[in-house]
Amino acid sequence: MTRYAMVLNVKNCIDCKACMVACTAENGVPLGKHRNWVKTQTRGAFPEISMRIEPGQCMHCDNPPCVRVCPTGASFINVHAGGIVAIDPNKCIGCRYCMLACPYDARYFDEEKGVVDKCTFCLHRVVQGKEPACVETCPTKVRVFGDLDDPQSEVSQALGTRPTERKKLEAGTHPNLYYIVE
Amino acid sequence: MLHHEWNWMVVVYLYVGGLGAGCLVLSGLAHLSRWEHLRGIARAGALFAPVLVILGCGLLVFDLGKPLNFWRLFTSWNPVSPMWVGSWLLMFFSLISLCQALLHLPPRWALALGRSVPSLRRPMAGLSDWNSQISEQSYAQTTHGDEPMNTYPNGPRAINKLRDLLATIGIPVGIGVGIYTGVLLGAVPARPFWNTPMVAQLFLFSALSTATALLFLVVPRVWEGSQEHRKRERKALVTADLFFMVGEFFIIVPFVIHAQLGTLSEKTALDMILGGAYTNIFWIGVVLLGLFLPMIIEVGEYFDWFKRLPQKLVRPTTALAAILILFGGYLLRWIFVHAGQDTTFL
Repeated sequence: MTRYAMVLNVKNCIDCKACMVACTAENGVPLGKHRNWVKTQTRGAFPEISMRIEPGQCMHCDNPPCVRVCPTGASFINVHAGGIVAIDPNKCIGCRYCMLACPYDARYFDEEKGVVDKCTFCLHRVVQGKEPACVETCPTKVRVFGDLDDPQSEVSQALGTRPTERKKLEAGTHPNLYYIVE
Repeated sequence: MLHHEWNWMVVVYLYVGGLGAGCLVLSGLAHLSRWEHLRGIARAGALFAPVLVILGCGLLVFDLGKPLNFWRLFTSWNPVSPMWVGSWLLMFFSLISLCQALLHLPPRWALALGRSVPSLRRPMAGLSDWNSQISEQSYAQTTHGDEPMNTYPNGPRAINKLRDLLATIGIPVGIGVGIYTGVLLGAVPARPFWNTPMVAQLFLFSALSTATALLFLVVPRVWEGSQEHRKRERKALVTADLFFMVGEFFIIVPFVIHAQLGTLSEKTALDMILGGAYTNIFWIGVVLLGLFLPMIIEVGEYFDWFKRLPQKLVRPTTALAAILILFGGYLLRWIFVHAGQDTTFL
């Protein structure tokens, strides 16, 4: 089995947003919508000031609330593609219940197509042996993508050696994005 | 307010869906009770239920990104999705309530329909015969006033049984739809304002209360009765409504207390109505104008406080109570849909 996951070394992030641009270009994301984001939070005032930068995207949860609430089965866990959370646009009727059910607000509504869309871990690239667009483009190497079930993969190595946390675990979602904490 | 995915169409659906559900429940109860003075409620409720719920369903479908693909709701299998369960409930509700509406159609309307659509003339003539009821006077003579009885002398036994059966199934299905409108919102942990066990109950009681208020206003239009009939009918509606409103109040109280006892997510979410953007509209619009004021008027009506007032004033005052309840019910749905989307799981 393959289990795709991502480890993010947040400390390296410089808020350049290249990942957002790469994703938008790669996946033809409509203007004004995003599949990934970079959130910033500043503390204090100049000169005693610090900034926390945190990139994110769909967490590809093992227990995704979006899949549970989907009335047509359009949202599903693709067990044949590393357990990513995927959307079948033919089955999606655009009720947007999944968007409200996602605690990470990782989904957007594509008004033109009338369906909901989100990060796919760039599955079309991954099957060709390439990395997701956000991973490949990141100039400071914040993101590491790979297979959790392969002990030699970069994500497994990173998870084995670095302390990490996951977001909103209390929501019971079992997310697959790991943030390195130091 | 942030950008909201669910807007007025969902608000109106939750409102009219609840109203229709309440109408079917009250109609079923009134019909099965066999009381003479509740016959108008049975009829009006049965006529309004399908109209309101089908209107709501239409809005739901129209709100979809791909309205023409709504049929996919019925070709999939996902019983853990509240929306999937709700779609089937609404489908079932529409079928039952349409049949029930037919069997409660006033004979005059059936005949008029037969006149305007010639091919329906004969079936409608039969229906008007089945649906004709004994007059209030003969009811009083046959039963010496009080004992409840079936009032359809011309309906075949099977049709009268079917009418009873539809009412019996309609009550739980109506309660189901009333609860479902709340479960739809309550089922998502990502929106803490919705994710409490009280929302479903609150919506059900509000649905029943607004339906009672609606029937209060419309029953005189579909059932002509003597003054005595009208008096007992009003008393029954006011009593039921007071029960529902007290229930509603005692659901709002723990909902608010929950804010102080819950996690940070819940506290932050409940701040929406405890100092946040929706505070005034909730406490003044829903609680004061939509609940307390009509409650006082209805208590007055119940205990006959207004009998010294001129008759000209009594009517508008009690009608005002019903209108306020309907208005408060709409505001409640509006606040929940929007405040919920302003909150997030922390």
